[in-house]
Amino acid sequence: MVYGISIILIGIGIYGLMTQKNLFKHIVSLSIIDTAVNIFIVATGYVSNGKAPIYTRALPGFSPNSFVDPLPQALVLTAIVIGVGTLALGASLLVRVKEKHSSINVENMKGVGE
Amino acid sequence: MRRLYAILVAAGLIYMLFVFLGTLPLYGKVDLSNRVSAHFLAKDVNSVDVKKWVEGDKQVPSREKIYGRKGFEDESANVVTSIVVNYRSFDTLGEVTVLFASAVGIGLVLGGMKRMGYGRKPNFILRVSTGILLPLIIMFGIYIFVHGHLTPGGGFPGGTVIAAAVLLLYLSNEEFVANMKTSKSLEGSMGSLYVIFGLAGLATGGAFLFNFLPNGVVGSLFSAGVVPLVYMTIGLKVGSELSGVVAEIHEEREG
Amino acid sequence: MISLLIAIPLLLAFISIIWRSLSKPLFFLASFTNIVILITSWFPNGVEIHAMGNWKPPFGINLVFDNASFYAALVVNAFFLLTSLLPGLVGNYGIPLMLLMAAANGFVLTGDLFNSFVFMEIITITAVTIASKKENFYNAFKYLILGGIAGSIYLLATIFAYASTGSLNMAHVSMAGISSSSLVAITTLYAIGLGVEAKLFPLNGWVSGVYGGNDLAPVILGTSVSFAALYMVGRLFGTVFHGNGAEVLYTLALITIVIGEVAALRQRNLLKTFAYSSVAQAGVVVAMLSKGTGTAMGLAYFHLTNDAVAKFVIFLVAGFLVYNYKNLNGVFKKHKVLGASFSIASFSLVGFPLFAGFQSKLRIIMEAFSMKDYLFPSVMLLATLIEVGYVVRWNVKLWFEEETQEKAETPVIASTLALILALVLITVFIKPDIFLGGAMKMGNALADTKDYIQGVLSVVKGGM
Repeated sequence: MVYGISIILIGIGIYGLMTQKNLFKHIVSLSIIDTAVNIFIVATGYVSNGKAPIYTRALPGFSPNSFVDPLPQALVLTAIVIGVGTLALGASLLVRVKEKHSSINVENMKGVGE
Repeated sequence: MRRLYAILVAAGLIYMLFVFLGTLPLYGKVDLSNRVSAHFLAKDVNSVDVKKWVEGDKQVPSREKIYGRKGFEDESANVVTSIVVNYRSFDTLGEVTVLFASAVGIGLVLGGMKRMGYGRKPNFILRVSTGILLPLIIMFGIYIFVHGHLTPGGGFPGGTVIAAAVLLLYLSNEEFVANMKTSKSLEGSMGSLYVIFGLAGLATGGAFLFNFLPNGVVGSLFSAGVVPLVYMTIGLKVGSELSGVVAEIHEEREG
Repeated sequence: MISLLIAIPLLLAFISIIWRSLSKPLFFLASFTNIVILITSWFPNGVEIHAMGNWKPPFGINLVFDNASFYAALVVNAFFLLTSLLPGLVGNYGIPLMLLMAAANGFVLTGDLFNSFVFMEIITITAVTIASKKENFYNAFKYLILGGIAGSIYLLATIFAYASTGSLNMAHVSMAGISSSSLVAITTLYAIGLGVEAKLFPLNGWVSGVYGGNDLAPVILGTSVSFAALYMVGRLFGTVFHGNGAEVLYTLALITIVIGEVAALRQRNLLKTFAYSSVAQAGVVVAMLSKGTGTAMGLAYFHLTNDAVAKFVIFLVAGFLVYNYKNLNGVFKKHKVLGASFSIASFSLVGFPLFAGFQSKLRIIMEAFSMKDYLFPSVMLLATLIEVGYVVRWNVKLWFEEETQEKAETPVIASTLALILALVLITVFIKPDIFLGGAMKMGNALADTKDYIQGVLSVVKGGM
């Protein structure tokens, strides 16, 4: 189920990238894909009835499969930050695209040659 | 026509991924003892016999009380943190670098000179509440990254919270300009400090990013060796970096 | 020692954000130190690993240093060193270049799938920054979007590998006995994910815009970064997946060659012509890599080394010309040294006898024939015919057409470097062993999965 949702979200992101003419919507689509992949990763680490992998007074000890897989969560933490970096750079590039070509709509952009 | 084509591509991709899904274990039915992370959870990586492990002899870790004990190879109560900052610390160095690279890129792409105004006076409530909230937000950010090895959170969320405080300052005061010199110096020195931690590990333990400080008791504030230090460095670095990004986005070129 | 290859450029990049003006000398220092480190550990002839934080593989992240990653790192760092000698070209971009160098080294050296994803993303972000030089924002943006998708797919592939083997370590994944349906999933996703950086069809739409947009991007992205990306193709499909999924790569590579060459022939812009040509060469290399044997892969990297050297000269000269002259007709009458090196490099690209390209192309065709593959050599001969067309056309235009009054000062360092590299290309024709020896060692190391697994997984403690 969760797998299905994230795969469909990836498809929506790809569709958005291919059809939208507004460049900002490309960034939005890219962030949809990023999020979908992140959901997918966290889902691969889920263990039924698993707890958050933090040792506290309430959950003092280790036993196999009592926690969800912490590794995908750690990977997602990295992937989110990478996504933020990409989006920030993309948005700031768009600011300059708007200044230079007077629009961020592919059809109205001036001075974009071959 | 273009939409049809896009639908076809997207549908093809979705179909392909659904077919590939069949190769994954069912949702929620994952067996951790087949994965490396079981040993991250049990904190017994050093005692695993790798030769046998990779050949399929999965050495299922024993049940064991971990909270409040000491003498483990890694001592942060939050296992995600122990992966992020200890077992796979090199990834985190890369992650810090990604953020750094994009901050440098934003600086080079935007390259503004003076602060952009919003063209309207900030709301009274916003201005007054900023004064009250600002210290609280910054304290909360620091709390998050200081306790990164015990609770969910860590350097990245903590740094982001601090940058949110700077954003609040920008929103509530048209005249406010962050001191770029300071933020750049903090960013650069904290980034260097992380690499220097790594090099110190190389010098003392023979491996880059080696944990060269003594561990403590799992669950106490002063534990987990180098992890809290690294998270504080990351927190300060991310905070200053994102503040710099906020400042750069608020700049405009002449003309 | 080898972790220093990544740590030093990173540290210097962090330092130079505090003292901006130091970024150029520090960039030179970083690339010079890296080359020195590499020269002191010349061809390890075995597999050395550096386990990060002393966590033994497959649990921690490890760097792998064998003949393959040594040769790749040597080539990558050599081009960074050459670039750092050109302060006019580097401009304000010293910090992104240092980060790119650290990331390219990490990408080449790492033995961990997720770690390679992280480094690929650093490469994408810094490369986009470099591509946006000279206000080339729209093309940089397109590159960012494509790179972002490719990164996501690469990450997805990594997760599939983790879910089916329980490990992220390349050596462990390669021996973990993945079921064949999982292998199809993983290799297909990796082929898509690497397709952007390796310039494979249909994900290479960014190349002409980025390479044609300014003078710095093609010089560094077309040489170092493409070498690192194509190294990863060899590592993943040769070592880790033992040639599984090679058919997909082979087909895509052939299409890439044809499309790249045709686009290059139709192109009227000097930089973009050779941008498309480098797309086509990437296709040749990937087609050879997909054969999977040590010899074939070695020849592929021999060809890639020749191509990278030639492209460095071509892009250096072309970047200088395009941004200093409005009309390129007959400019080489004013810059004879630049012209001579450009001609040598472009002839080497085609594969005329007397130049390095001939040695590699001939060997590749012979090797393909000996493997009873007739399709690839015929595509390659067709590609060579097209190459002759545009290379001769540009040389005639730049040397012999009516010149204009414009005159720019000849860049001394750039022409010296271009001339030296052009002479290297001729030397390689006479003594192909200069590049061939290393490339063959690299190919054999990539094909030898067993050695790789043993080297990575048998070491108990990290060591230097």
